Amino acid sequence: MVNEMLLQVLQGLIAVVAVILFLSLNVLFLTWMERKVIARIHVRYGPNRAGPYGLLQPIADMLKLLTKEDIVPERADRLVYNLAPVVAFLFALMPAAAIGIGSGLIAADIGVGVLYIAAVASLSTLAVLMAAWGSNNKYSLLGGMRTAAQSLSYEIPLVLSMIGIVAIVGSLSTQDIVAAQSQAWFGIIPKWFIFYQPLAFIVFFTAVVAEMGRIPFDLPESESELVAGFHTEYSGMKFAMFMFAEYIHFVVGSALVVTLFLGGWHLPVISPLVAELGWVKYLVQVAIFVAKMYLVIFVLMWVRGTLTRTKVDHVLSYGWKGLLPLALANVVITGVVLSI
Amino acid sequence: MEVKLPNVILTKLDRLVFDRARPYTMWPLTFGLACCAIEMMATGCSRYDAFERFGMLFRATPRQADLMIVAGTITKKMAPNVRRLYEQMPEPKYVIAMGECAICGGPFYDSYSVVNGADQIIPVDVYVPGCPPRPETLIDAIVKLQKKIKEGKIKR
Amino acid sequence: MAEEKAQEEVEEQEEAKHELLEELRSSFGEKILQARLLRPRRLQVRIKGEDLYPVAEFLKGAGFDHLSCISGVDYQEHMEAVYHLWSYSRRELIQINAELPRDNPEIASLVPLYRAADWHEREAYDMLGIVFKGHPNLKRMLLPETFEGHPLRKDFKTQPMSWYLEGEAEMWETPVEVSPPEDGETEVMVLNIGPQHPSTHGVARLVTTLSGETVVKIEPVIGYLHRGVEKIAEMRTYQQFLPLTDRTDYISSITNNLAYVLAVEELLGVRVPERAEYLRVILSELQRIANHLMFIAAFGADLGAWTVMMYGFREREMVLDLMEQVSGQRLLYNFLRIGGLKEDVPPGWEDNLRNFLRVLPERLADYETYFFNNEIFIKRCEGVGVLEPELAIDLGVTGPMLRASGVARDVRRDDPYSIYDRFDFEVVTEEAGDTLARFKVRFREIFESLRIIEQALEDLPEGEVRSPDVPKVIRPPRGEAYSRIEAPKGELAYYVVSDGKSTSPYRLKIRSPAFCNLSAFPHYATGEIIPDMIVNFASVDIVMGEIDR
Repeated sequence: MVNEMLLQVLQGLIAVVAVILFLSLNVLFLTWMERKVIARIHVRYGPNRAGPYGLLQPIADMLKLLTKEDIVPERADRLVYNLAPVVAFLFALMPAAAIGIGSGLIAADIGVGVLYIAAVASLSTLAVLMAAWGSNNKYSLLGGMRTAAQSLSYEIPLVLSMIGIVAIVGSLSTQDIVAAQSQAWFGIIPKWFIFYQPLAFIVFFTAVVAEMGRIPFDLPESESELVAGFHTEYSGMKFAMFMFAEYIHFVVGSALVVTLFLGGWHLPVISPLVAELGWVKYLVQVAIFVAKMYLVIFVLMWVRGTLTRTKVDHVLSYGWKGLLPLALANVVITGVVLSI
Repeated sequence: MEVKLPNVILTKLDRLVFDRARPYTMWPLTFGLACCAIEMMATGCSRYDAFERFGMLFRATPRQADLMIVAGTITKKMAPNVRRLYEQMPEPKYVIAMGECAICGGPFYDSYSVVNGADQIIPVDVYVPGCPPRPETLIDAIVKLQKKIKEGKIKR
Repeated sequence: MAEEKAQEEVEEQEEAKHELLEELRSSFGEKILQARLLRPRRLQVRIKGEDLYPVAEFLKGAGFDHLSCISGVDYQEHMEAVYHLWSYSRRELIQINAELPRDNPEIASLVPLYRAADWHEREAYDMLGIVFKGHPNLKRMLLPETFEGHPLRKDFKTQPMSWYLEGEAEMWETPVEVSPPEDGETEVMVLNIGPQHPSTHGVARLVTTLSGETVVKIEPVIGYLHRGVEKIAEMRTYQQFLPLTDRTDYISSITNNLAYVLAVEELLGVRVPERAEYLRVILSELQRIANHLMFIAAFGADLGAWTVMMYGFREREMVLDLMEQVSGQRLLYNFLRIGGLKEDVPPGWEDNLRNFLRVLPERLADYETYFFNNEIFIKRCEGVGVLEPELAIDLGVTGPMLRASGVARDVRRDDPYSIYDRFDFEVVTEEAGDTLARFKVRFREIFESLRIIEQALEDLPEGEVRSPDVPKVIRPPRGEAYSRIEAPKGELAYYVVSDGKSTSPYRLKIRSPAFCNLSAFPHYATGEIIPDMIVNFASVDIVMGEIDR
């Protein structure tokens, strides 16, 4: 019995380490990729001095941020101020536990995966508010309030748009949702939920961009308006934690889009081919999943390079008066169609 | 015999590892005062792209910046703010004085309200002559600063 | 032919002037101490300080609705407050020299008549110590409140070349008192935007009072780039001052050169050769294009669209390349000289220019798609920061900001200088008066500038580019000159006073368009939320070098 428990603990630890490793590698790569992609949209090169093609840039950034002086403002609320980056990092990591990158390659295959993700994703707003309040700085406070308002408004359409899929699949587990997208018409056109639930896809995509805090919903970090939003007073490693958390949101959000709408790790012709090949199957699945994830990430970076920032009252009105009715309509339509 | 071992280890580590990384990731503060600011912006834009290529990312808040490019005339009214911004930046930090006004007061040297050079207020690492300096000159200054960091010549 | 036309004009204007002078004499009689015609369309009258308000009131009723500039001059036995008023309906400018006693210079404030007088009078008080009775808020403007002394007085000694002498540090502190909010509003927060801020276009400080996200009150605090250019002018010769004019509006330098050079040429009575005139027009219009492209880039950056900033700068680099081929400098050219240009343009430059004229409209078509088909952009700018035309005229706003409110006034057409009366161009206006209208006006003005350059390029004559009549030592005879031009930001004017004896100007005052446009900003930007205020501020298109001088 003790052996069993130890084994389970070991398994859990391996899962945790694997998830954190996967996310960290992706985040490091993403910081480089974002700067390169945006630079190319701007008709210029991005970083290309630090290592070949600038690939060592994220490492240089990390090393520098490790040794910056740590400044705590005199009148800041110390506990809240120091705890905020940790909380941000923690709550950014938590949804990743329920998202799998291959069949069975998931940290926690709980039966209520989607519900868990929806619940935990909204907790990251707490970190923002803690940072905003603890800094004792008017810019941070304004930035934090805006972010909280935006996150709140877009949480609801996000969750509602997932309901249609859950209704079709009949289960809340992410593994089941991906498994339900494994078929294909004529063996070629995949039966992904983006084709079954286009309205939900549009709502979900918009809401996930808002949750990530990217342009066009750039309010949390609206640089030219509020200096630097809620992390104005953070320097060094604490700022690195916030940046890390932001990019983890990015990765997790894209992974969610891929899981729910783009068929996860299934591809019509290739998946049946490798289904019998033992452990090679897992490699191929991870590769497909990562490729799709990076496709979504690229589209989001493209959007960032093209659009401008929306105003705060427009953001809120899009959320409540635009996306919410659409999401509700989607739920109703799905329900009607399913019962027929 | 007192041997201060920890300091030796940390300083060596600092010089060997971190000073190799810092030149490639200096983050400047958006601090344009006058005409040189326009030339600094032009240097950062698509044609010269001096900043992104070297890994420099402009940050708006002094807490996250480690390079201050003083671009433009410092007037006596602005001087206390410059000092305060410099002190808000966390260590290790560097300063480039760009343009004649930041070096010595420039064409306004005998005015009643101009500070004759940034080094009267904050310590400067690299001086960039020109009125305004061409983008190539500014890039040369950045490369010189990188060399200075790698060779350990920054006095703190 | 041109000379006959000029002669006719002078006679016509002399009669019209005499008409205005007759009206003034009939109303005020002996109070008009002296009257003179500086040049066609410029009447100068001299009165005593206590008669100012009735004269100004009369003039406002007679159609002089635009207060261009208020300067102060320190003649050592007495002081003068000089007013420049422009009438659009009569197309003439009147300069009023009001004499004041030096030990107690007090004069009535013109704020009840022209709200534009607000900031001008504060500056005159700051620099010379003239007290304007009846001014609602007579505080210092460019120097901090604790400063002692008035720099532009002739007995003010410039401090030696170091700072923070004994006791000086306290003088330069700048605390800002924020007046308590009106109507007993309790839930307000005072936020200090600037002087270091990504989107204040330089070192401007806006002390905003916020109620939640709504802006209740804005108070711009300027002077962080006050370099004392006007005092330095009194210590340099006329030629030595020319590079300093570049550094006021550093985004479009040639137009500053042009305004200064026109004033000095008027004092000297020098005629500029034809080729130089045409080239001056071409260079000024190129500067206008460069300035508007920079405006578009900075506007995009404020909205969060960094791509636009990159593209805007890329187009601007094309203009800077052309200017570099001509003058060797990328930004601050110092290319005009008193009497013409520094030298002729290099061979092959005209072909490059023609190439540029062909390429730019294609690139600009991209911008049109980017901006005017972009719903987010339109929604952010439409209806935001509406400036009524009457308020704009009263506040002394000029340039694209005024034209965006539907008022079609352009110094190039109303009061032509250089050879602008030979070109055919449209004065671009929009009706809405909001931020989108200001953007559209500047965007369309680029095309008008391209038209002017094309026409000038066709008629470009051969010849020399410098007048041979300009002496090596420039010592203009005693006189005053006020040259107004249409700079890209609005009406730029230089008021130069020469005392006939020295090689430096006796007094030089720069009427900068951004100064007056910024004074209008608090009046129409309140009541909206912070992102709107940032966008409003961007649409004023200021440059701090010009405001603070």
